[in-house]
Amino acid sequence: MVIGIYHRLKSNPSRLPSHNLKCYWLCFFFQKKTPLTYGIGCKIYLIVLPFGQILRLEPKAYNLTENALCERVIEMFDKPLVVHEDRTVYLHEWLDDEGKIGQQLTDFADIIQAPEEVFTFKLSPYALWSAAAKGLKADYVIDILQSYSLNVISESLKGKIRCNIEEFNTIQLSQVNEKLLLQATSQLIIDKLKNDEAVAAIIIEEPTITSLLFDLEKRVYLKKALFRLELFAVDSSTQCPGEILELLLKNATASGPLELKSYQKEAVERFTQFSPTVGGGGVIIMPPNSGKTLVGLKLIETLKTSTLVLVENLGSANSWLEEIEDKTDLAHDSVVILFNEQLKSKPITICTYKNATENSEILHHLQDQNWGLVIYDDAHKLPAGKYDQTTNISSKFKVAFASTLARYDEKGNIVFELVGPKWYEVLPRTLESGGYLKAVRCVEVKVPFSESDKEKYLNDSNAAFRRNLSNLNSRKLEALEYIRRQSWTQQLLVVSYRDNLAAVISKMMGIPIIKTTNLSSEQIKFIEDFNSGCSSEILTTSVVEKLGIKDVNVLVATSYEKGSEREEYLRIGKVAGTGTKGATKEGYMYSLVTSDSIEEEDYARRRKKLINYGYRYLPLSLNDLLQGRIVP
Amino acid sequence: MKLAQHLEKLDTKLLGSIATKLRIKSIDIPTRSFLVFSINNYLTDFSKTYWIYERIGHESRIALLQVLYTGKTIYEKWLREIEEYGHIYDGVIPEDLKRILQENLKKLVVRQLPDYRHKVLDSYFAMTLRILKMIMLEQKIKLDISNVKNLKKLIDKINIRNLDVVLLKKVLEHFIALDLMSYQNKLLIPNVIAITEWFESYPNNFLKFYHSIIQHTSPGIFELLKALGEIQEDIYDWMEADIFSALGRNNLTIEKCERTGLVETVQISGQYLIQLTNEGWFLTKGVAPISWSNRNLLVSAAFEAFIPHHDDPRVLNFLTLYGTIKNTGYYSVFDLELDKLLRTSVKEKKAIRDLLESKARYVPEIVKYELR
Repeated sequence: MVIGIYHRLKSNPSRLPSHNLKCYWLCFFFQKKTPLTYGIGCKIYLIVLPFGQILRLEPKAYNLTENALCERVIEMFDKPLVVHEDRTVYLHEWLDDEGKIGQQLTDFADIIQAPEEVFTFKLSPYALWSAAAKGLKADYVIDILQSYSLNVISESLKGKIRCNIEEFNTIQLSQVNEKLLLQATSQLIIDKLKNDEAVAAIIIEEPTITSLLFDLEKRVYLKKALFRLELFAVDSSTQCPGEILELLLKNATASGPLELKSYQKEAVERFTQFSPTVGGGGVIIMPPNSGKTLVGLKLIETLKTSTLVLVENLGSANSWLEEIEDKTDLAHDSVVILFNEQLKSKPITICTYKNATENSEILHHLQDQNWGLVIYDDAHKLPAGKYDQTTNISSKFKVAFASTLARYDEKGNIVFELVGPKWYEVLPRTLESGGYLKAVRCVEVKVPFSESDKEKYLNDSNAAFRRNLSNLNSRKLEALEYIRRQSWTQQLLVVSYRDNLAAVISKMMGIPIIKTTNLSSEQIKFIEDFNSGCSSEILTTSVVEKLGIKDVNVLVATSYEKGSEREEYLRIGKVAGTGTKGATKEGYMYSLVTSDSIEEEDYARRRKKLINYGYRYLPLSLNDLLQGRIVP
Repeated sequence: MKLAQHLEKLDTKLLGSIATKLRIKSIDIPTRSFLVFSINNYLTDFSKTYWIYERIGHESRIALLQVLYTGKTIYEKWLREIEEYGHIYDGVIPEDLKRILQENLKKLVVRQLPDYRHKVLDSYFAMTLRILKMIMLEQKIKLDISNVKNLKKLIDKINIRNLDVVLLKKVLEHFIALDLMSYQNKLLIPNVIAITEWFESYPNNFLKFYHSIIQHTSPGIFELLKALGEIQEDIYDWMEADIFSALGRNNLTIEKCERTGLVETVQISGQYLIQLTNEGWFLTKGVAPISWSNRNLLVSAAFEAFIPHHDDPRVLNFLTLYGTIKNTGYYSVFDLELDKLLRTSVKEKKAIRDLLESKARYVPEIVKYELR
């Protein structure tokens, strides 16, 4: 039978798909226990199915033109969202050119990652609870999802959305006689809590059938349990009035007029409008380099109250200090970075999470103060270690700033439980399409070792030696020289984590170098000339974040602090910022990375994080670069 | 036999009774040949088909449609009404009349739903791929296949919605029969090489799987698929499900069939409709649905692959072997895991690259580069 079919096809060549389309036909006797597969010359196979039909497998046998294929692809992906039962929402990013749909989703969903092509959001209970706190209704959320979605939203998911939104304001936490009082709107919630072993173990009293009493010190423990049970409390248990602080933002700084951008104003307005309704807390999510510190300063100005700023590390603490001095009229002696040996708070006090939590003396000191606002900077760090204990510090308002709450341990959302709902989130694409940030294209140039360096590298397995050798790869200079000679390189910033490499580059290429923050008058002139466009090249080291270098259109990174994602952000930030002129809409960051080396592995880690934030990376070999494969 | 031949066999009284039912006007005393000629002309007239259809009861209509489109009916008593209209002779509709009725009444059975958004159905094959991958990754699994509790425990571990004990048992037995795993002393041990070969044998593994799981163990489902395959001419066609409800051993056949992911049903404006899914179409027609030639696969710069649930199982089959599934639903989402990819052989890397290039809507540069 099979042979017969084959012969009929063979005798009528027009019925055979074209050979260059590589069509396969398979032969399979379905009736037999073991399938038989016959290859019958010319890469042709037949399958005979149980229903007597012949199976044709290769879709290309349809002989569709590229255009016909494209039309179908467009038809297939004609809606921007796919919503899964498990609350995941996928956004087809190419159908959301200006980022409006993604931005709309942030009102009731958390963005998990934003790599090129498909963004992932989650309709987490907390994001939905936050939506309810902002006054959004379940029907509004469902309607938006349904109108943009390729698939039908299941009734079960709709039910979950309604349930999470309706749960807003069903639990309240307050402080009564040095105890923590939990009040619920229904006994069912109390029963759910009592049925949970972890919660049941810390209940000290049941004043009524809809309330429970706990020790105050169990606050964080209880809130973590609520998080696990997908319950969310309006928390006013750590309220205190705060000292009055008069602070004004300057109208202008040395680098030009100082005015909040519209999205920064919106963040401030949303926080001040909504946070009082839920006990004074809330979260603001903005991309790196979008001016979170300025939003924080505006909040201090608006709320007129003493403020504690908690930061990830000393670098961030210094950065806050400099911003306060640069952008506000606050007297120098009214702000302090708190160290172990210096336990004296000022109207604005800055402290690292580590210092605040590793030393109980500092934590008690901070808890004893009368704060009006606590700012949790880099709040994605809050769920780490004991950092969450800082949320027990009393304050009238609490705001958590983050670029993202995505964490490898998926505990990021606990920040909503510990601090408050998400009042504002703005996505990088929204800022790019609004002209607030440049779209940065990242190019990773893979630079091979010279033969002699390769041999040295292979002969020594010491990681530090290998990292050093990769960082200092002399062939990176070929790439740098090529890039600086191109017409599209207008304002070039070269950065090197390694001071010695920076010195070599400066000497060989005659690019002015800045390696310190204590700038000489000559170095100040370098920066001023660069910013004004009088010079077009500047070179610096890890101090780059503290230098006011602006309007960079091409940045070339030549060496790295291992896999530091923060360093990568800061570097991209130097290109992404529109500066004073806002001349170009796009910027380029070239990272010269030694191929087949430990540096390449380090760089892959930082690249992965940035890809998930939505930055696009183009890997390129040195040869490709030198042959002009990339023309911005 | 044709209608005229059947009519020739009837006596004048019976012919007269059919003519009366059909309201054929005649001269005072019609001759036998006049009756044969008139009835034949009337019934083979396309414009008259609806007139008759509208006059018979609901059950008779369903019975007629069943005979026409599925070749069988269990509502034989309802066929008597149709018999009175001269449609059936000894339980058979004459060939020429059947063809006319099939063509003319098709619009009552088949329709299209332009804006319909499909349900997400996990096909048996898709589920099986995941079961097999999970077992492949395990060194051994302690399991009593005949113990329902044991199987339920394994289902919890595999975490596949809609997977039930009966299917899991069938699937495991299928794999054991194929020597993809050994089962001794209540211990399931995967044969990784054989499993890899099984994955690589697509579409034989696909066809043989359904052959084993459905054709042998659920003949009702098999029969339903066959009937649907005969009537559904367009991938977008929906058929009146009621006329297929008689097929199989019980009335749950359609529901059971939907659980296989080979058909989809929908209730719209009081109508119960059924359609072959892409996989069902492929299995019964032997031709891949044209949508499988689309670039339906999405690849993100985070090395994720998104396969729509209605896409070519070849893609799912391939990526289940090389990737790690992290979400299912409308899309089956795979992590392609860069570290793992970089460790794969040149041949495997090429195979992945070829698949992405031929099936993906777009491949981000970073993914292309790493696969190069």
